[in-house]
Amino acid sequence: MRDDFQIWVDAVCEQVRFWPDRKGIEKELRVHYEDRCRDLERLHYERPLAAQRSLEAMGNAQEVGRALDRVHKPWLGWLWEVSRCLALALTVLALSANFLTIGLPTLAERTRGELAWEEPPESASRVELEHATIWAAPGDLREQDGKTVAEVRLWIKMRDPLAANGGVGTLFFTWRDDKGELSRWEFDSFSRTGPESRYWTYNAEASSTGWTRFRQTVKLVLDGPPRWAEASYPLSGGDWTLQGKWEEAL
Amino acid sequence: MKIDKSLMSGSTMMLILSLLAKEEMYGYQMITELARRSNKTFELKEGTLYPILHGLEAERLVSVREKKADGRVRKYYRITKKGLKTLDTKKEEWGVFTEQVNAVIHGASLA
Repeated sequence: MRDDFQIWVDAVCEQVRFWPDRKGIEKELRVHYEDRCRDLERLHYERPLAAQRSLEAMGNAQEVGRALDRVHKPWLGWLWEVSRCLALALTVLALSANFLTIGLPTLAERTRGELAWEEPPESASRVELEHATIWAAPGDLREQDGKTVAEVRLWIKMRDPLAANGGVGTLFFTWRDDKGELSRWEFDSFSRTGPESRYWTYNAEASSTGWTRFRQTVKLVLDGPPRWAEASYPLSGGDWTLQGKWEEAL
Repeated sequence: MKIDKSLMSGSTMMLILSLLAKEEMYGYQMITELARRSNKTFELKEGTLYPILHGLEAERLVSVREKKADGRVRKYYRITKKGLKTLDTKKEEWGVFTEQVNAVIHGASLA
């Protein structure tokens, strides 16, 4: 059975056309009513009398309800609700799209990199850059179409997130072997030949979305077997080189 | 002394904002504080406080947060910067209004 306050508050809320707000209104009015009851009971009012006096103090339910309805305008309430839902839906959509187009492939790439990761050998040449640590070691040598393909194995450990330039960094590596500067190299599925190929550009931005460490191989296309090959970074003014030596193996 | 409700209706908003100018309060606290400070001259029908508070919230003159105290969750109202500015304006208007009313009822003349 509804008590007198419940009847009163129901009558208030019935006036409020924007029904999603009714629950909050009822809760607030109930707390107020109970505060009043408690105060009167502290003054030694019997519970029924305290309840009756507290309810009388609340005023006319119709008047209170109509006044609340004027504030809780249905069109404004629904407009607010719809915009909130729309904003939420757009956020979810944007995040999903971002995750599907960038997040998921990156995650897959990162997982692949992690699974394929092996520590570089002790003998590997190593360089500490601002946003990555790179190791290099000589890989396979083989003959192909009258040329020698020398593989340099690389272990790349990126800072995560990248410190350099807010996550963007490009390394311009120049490759040379013991006979001079190289004009042709291949980097996984990516290759360059000709005068522009002096620089091996490694764009850290593409790898900044979560790759922590991965291995890659640079294939150097040479006229004959090298004793060594090295990468340097002439544009930075830095004095480091990464070197792979085959001479012991040859 | 009980006063005519219509005398209060125009100034309720100013009274509530004045209460909140010092500290945040919940509805019942405002009612008791208003009665105490006015020596029970201003006694609202308590339910009518909430449409006023919700209106002030809609106009961003007060902000609301829920806080648990004495084992119950209450809505606390706090005056905003906009509310403080509005209160200043209302006080100024009130000053002019009472001055002019007093001038009329006490028979003063500008001439």
